[in-house]
Amino acid sequence: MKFSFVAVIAVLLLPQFLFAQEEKKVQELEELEVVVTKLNRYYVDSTNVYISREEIEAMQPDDLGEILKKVPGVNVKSYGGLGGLKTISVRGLGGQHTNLIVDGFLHHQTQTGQVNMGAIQMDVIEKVQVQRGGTSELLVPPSAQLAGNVIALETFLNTSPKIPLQQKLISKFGSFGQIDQHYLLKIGNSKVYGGGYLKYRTAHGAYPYSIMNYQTVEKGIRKNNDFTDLNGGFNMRVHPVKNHQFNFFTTYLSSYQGIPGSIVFYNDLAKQKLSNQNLQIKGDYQGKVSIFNYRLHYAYTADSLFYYDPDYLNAAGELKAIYLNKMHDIGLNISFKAGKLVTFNAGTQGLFSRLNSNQLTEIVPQRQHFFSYFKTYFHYKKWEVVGQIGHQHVTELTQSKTHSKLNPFVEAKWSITKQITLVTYYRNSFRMPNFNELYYSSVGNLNLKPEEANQVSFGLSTTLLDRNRIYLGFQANGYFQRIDNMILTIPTKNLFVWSIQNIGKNQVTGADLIASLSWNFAKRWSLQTTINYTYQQSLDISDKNSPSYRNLVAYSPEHISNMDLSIQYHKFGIRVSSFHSSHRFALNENIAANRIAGFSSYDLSVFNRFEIDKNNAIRLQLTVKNFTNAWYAYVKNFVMPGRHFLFTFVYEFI
Amino acid sequence: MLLTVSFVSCKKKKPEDENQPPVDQFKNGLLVINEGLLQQNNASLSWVDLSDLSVNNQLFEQKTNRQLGDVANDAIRYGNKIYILVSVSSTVEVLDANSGKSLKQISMVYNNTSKQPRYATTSHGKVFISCFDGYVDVLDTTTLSIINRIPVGANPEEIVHNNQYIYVANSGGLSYPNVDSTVSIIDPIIETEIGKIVVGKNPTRLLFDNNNNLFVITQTGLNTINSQLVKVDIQTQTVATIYPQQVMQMTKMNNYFVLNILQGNHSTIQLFDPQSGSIVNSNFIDASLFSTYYGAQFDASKNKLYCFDAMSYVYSGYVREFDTNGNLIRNIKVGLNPSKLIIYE
Repeated sequence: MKFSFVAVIAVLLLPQFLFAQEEKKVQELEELEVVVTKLNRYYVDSTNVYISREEIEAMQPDDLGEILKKVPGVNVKSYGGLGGLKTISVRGLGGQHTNLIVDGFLHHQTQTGQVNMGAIQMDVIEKVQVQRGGTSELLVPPSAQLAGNVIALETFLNTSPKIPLQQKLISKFGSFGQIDQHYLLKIGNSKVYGGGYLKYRTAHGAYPYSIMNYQTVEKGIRKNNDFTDLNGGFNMRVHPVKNHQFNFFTTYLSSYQGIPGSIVFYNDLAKQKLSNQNLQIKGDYQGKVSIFNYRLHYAYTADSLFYYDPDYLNAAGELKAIYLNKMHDIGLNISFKAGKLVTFNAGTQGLFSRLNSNQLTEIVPQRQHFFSYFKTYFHYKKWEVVGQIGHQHVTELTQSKTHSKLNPFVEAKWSITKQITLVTYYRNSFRMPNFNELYYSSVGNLNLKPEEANQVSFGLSTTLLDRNRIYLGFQANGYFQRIDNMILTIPTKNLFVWSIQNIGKNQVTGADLIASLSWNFAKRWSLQTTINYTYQQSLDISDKNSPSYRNLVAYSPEHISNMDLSIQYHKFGIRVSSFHSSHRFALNENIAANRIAGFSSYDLSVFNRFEIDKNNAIRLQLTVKNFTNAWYAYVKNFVMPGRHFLFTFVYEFI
Repeated sequence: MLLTVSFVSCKKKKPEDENQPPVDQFKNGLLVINEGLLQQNNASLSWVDLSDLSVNNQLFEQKTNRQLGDVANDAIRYGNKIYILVSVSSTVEVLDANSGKSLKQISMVYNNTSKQPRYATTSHGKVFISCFDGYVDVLDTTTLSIINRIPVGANPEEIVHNNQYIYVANSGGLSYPNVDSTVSIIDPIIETEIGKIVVGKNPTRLLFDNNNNLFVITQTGLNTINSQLVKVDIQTQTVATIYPQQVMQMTKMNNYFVLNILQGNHSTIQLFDPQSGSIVNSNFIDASLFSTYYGAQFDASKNKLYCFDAMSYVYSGYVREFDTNGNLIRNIKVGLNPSKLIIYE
């Protein structure tokens, strides 16, 4: 074991190490590919959670937020149903500490600092990987190597077609006027292929709700909750010669929706509208020369928001707020092996952002954000040790201010047996204030500092059974996090004048458990179940003299769990899915007046797949969401839909 | 699945129980209006019984079997009725001043748009309500209905009277940076705006001294910068004096004003003589007793000054009781963001 810990400020990611309990298939450039599992629909390795296409299909989620609420440690704040804003926190770290990576590219928004998980539709997604704090995969952008957490999505476009022309047509019809039409195709072969998709989705969204007004149940219809979007994309991948690959992607989203806001007693006159256009043009080149793997990427994003309030009580009698956020993202990753035991991995990335808005008449926020890291991966027998040093340098061009900081990360894994792995890591990260927090008209605070996070985690993962007919995986983690300089938006002069300040400190202690079982218990019969549980105590430790000192942070329930059970006979199946959350508080002061009740919701679905011939298949599914018709809210006064239905028709030509 | 349900139903500790015994009669106490917080529907009324200092934070709910709504911005007693202005819910709640029972909930909606009532004053048997849509509404106290809308400036805030006319501060805050800078004068008999006085940018708060001079707080930014106190001569309808202090709140106490003045980033509570225009005590009340000073109200009959502490706007607030020398007598914990009192003998 001749290596120096000094040298091990970093590493590599041996491609082979990707997922310990998965079958890997070796291809040319295999080290750059995401390895496909053969096993479970919802599965785990020592630090990650993976959700496969089959699981996504069975679940029929409205969006990524609905999927992520099934992942231990992830707390979703949902402001409504279809099209509604959904934000996440992972192990107590706010959504801006999480990088969303789509097909290897950062999906980002500098204006708000995070992506609305309610806007990411799932029909085109083949796999979701949630990495809670641990090692990032090989050659993902440096920003993800340095982020607190990473959610990686792989789309339909990112894998080669199974046949020269692969097509899929999806139609969905649901409650509250929901109609989805979706067409996807891929054409080509493993050397050269291209693909595309187009999706149209609409819903009037006027769902009935019930809410307690003191001791009386008040019923109403959610107004101004309509939603329409058009979503499309295409790509091309070329392998001109062995070990060299070019990718090109472009995606476009256009959406228009009402903003119902919170339910305000005695006033349901919300009329605000929001439209969003998002264009992304992305390309990369991946290659392998001798012992070197490398990836060069570039991405351009233009994200525009138009907010319209026809009842705004200013001189004009309306508010039209326009925002255009443009980003250029360029980066390089390299990895190489140094002998059998050690691999080095390094990368650098520049993210250039600019925001134009009619609400910022005297200022045009601009930022240069550079990420660099050097990582060493050491693998010896049953031990894997990762050491990484990262560096971020941010220049706020608007203010001529800079911020530089090192971010260390270390991880150690010990595979006690083939089935049992212990892992521990420490990660330091930060998130910059977003443009709204810095510059938003009269509310923004130019003096904000980055929000700092330190994470420590200990975990055990085991594959108790992994045979042809049965898989049983288990993962347990304990973690401790500390967040300093929390960026909070608070009222300053009165309730209508708010400001944004670095005033919070949080301490998060938690544990999460995952158990996943797949079992072909009889001929043509199979059973699939996943049980997740998260205990998390996210405490406000900002000020010893504060009434909320060591109280639970707002919107942080202590207990979240879910259980999904599918029973399948041949291609016909029934699935029951449950989600449970303990109570939470709307404000940091844990008093009865701020308490939001815990809840349970259950979904039920029935599905069948008809294989017309070798290449043609039809899949039908009826899903009853919230079939017990529970009235509940993640966020105070944002009541979720009661019982509703979704019928899905999929025609596949594969 | 049952196992997971049982996980979520276990609790470490029960939050503080807020069930309160009902209040039968309003006597020797304080009815505190707690604004609540935006989008939380948690405006409330607290009843403070001064005989035993017990507090009931669910008074409105117990009297009406429903919640008050979203942001109770102001309240006023006139005759045997109490009028509570709930801004975001856009309602005026009318309660019987003796029993607390609801007499009427008036919806403040015009042309399918919320009027957002802000402040109220009374005159000639009517309640005059400044509405953020640029009007002062006239509420008939007999029929409990809006009988007239008087157009004024943009986003009117505080409204006061001097037994002859009504004055309302036109802030124009929602058109920032092109804010309003006037105070409208309304004749309460003919219910018409009869003039405007230019007082300075973004006027929000108004107060008459005992010599019929109108004092106005203006501010040139939406944040807590460049606030100032302006003295207006209502005879000449001109600005008489601009004081250099950054005044955030003002409350009349006998012949003086209690001012909350920003000095740098620190709040101070000073005593001001409006007649001489000078600070007579620059440390009248120790500001460190407050987390977030949020105004005050003076009980002239008992010579008590009740100051509000909004506790950073997100924690249960306090009413802090002082004597006229600025000495703290007691602290009373109430609801979220207390900002107004109705005092019962």
